[in-house]
Amino acid sequence: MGILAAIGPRAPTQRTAPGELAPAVVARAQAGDTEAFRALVLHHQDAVHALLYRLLAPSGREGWVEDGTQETFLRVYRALPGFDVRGPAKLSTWILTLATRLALNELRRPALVVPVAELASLPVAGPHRADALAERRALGEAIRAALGQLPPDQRAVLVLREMHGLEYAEMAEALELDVGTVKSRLSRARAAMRAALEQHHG
Amino acid sequence: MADSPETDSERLDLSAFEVPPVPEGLADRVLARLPATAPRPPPRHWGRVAVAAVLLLALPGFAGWAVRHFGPPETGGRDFTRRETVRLGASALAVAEPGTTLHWVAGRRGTVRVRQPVGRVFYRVESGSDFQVETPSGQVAVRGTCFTIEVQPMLPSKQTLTGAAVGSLLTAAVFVTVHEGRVSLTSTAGATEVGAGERAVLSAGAAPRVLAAPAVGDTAVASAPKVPTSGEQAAPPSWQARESAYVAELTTLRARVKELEQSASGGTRPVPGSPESEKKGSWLEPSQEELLEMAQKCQLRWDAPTLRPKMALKPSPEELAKLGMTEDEVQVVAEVHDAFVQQSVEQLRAIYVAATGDVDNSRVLSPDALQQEILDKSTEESIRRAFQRISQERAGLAAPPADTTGLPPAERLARLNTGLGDGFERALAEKLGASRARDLRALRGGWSSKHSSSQGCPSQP
Repeated sequence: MGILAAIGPRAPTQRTAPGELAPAVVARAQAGDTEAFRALVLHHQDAVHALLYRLLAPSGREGWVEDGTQETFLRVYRALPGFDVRGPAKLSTWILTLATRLALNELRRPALVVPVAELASLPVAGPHRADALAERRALGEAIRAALGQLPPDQRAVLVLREMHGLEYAEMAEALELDVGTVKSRLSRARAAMRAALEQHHG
Repeated sequence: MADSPETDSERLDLSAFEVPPVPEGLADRVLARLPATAPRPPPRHWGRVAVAAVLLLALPGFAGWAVRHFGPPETGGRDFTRRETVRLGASALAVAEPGTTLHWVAGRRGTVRVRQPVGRVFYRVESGSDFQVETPSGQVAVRGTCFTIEVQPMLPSKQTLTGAAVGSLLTAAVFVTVHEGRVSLTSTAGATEVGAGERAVLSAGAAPRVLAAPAVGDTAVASAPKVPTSGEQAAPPSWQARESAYVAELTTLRARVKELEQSASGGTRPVPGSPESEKKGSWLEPSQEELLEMAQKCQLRWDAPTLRPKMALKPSPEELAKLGMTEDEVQVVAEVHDAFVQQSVEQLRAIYVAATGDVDNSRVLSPDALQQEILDKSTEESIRRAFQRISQERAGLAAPPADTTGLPPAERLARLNTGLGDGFERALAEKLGASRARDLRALRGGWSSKHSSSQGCPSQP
């Protein structure tokens, strides 16, 4: 698969967000049951960790991903009693909302950590490379680098939509924007992503 | 654009950007940080909120509030004339510098309320504690972390003196340095959160501001402006001068980061295998030309394995296949890593004791907190000198010292940090062979933590 294959319309990416946790477990966690809360963390940790990695790593802040994941769940714990299980928001989306806001706050802080992790191994995959695994890794690195060029707000929209499968209304809620702004921001992010990848592998 | 992501024809496939697995034991670490008491649902009726507000307003003061909510408290208060460590309830520890005044109330449920009108205190708070420090300029609240608060009294301005008693107008600049975890800062004008490795200032009437965010564990970048120690309090720099220094430092660091980010963005990166790449060397193995250039700028770059135990490098199945590694060898890597972490942290503790004389705290602080405290006790000049010497040694311009034990703590710390990568490779080589150890280090272009930084050269040659 060539690098440019990523740019065109593709089959849907598998959603990272897991299914919803059993309401009884959520209710127990809301009541302060630690074991139920552990189940909640285990159920959602992959999605939260992945989201934070996708938002933070392109800015060289991988080192904060675990702390951010822990902090997200601490915030979930504090706010969980106020979450309305019968309300319109899914628990998984609500948790991703908390994680997204936390990540955006982190990205707004002065970036004094030097993002050098990719210096040694940024891919420059040739067009005729036969090794599919290496190509996919190169593509992944190219996507990461291109995400790193996007402003955090656009990056968040793109990641929530393309990699976590959120709907417009859910994204609008998570980012405290109206749906129109979400759509225009997503459109700009996609265009910038395509341009960045095309330029990268021109 | 369709609303459902699955039917959105413009959707991009970004799945090739893969995510590493969730670190093992993450859920346990989250649970260890939960507060001792379960959170309560928010009040749903304004009437109840109003009653609660009236009750709170009726309380005479801070101690009374603690008494009524948490039963008979343990209270204390001290003016410190020498450096002392005190326990604040069952879950917190404070190291107060001379010139500090503290009052505290520790409730039965682990709740601790502290008043710090003046002085410098290092706090360590157990996970899950409800801990709050009240300063003249606002509150600092935490749930398990360690941090330093320095309250510097400020003389009132001529304007504010008009028509009021001097004593009631004394204000303070409060500097908060977070070594681990996160704390929230609240003043009458706003609130913010401060993360590990960051400093913030609380000033009366102004919203809290984050001043700098040095990389945790990064010797060079983390060398924030020195916080005066007790011996220097006779002639403290003015708050304004300190602010200017912070701003100047931030400006320099931002410019430096921008420069490095630009160099990392792909524009000037050489293609591996190209003549330019040969001249440049790799990130892990810089060419002699690069080493000389770095020595000229007193610049260092280094990689290091994580100093968290049980977090050794775990190659993916593809990487294992590529290296031809067995599961037994992976197990050896984990064992060597754990032993290496233990040995490195012991060295770090020894440097901490040399810098602070505080043996007790050297046993309880995390590696990041130990480093931060060592840097707090070091001058910027000593760090610059360390970088200069080490960069010159790497370029072959100077010989390394035969014995490092007599060196300043800042230099010992810099040498420890910049040598971790080679040290871990050597430790692995003893068990797995030099070739395997090198392959593992090169697998991802160096160990997990990579640094490139410079403090600039010392002002005096």
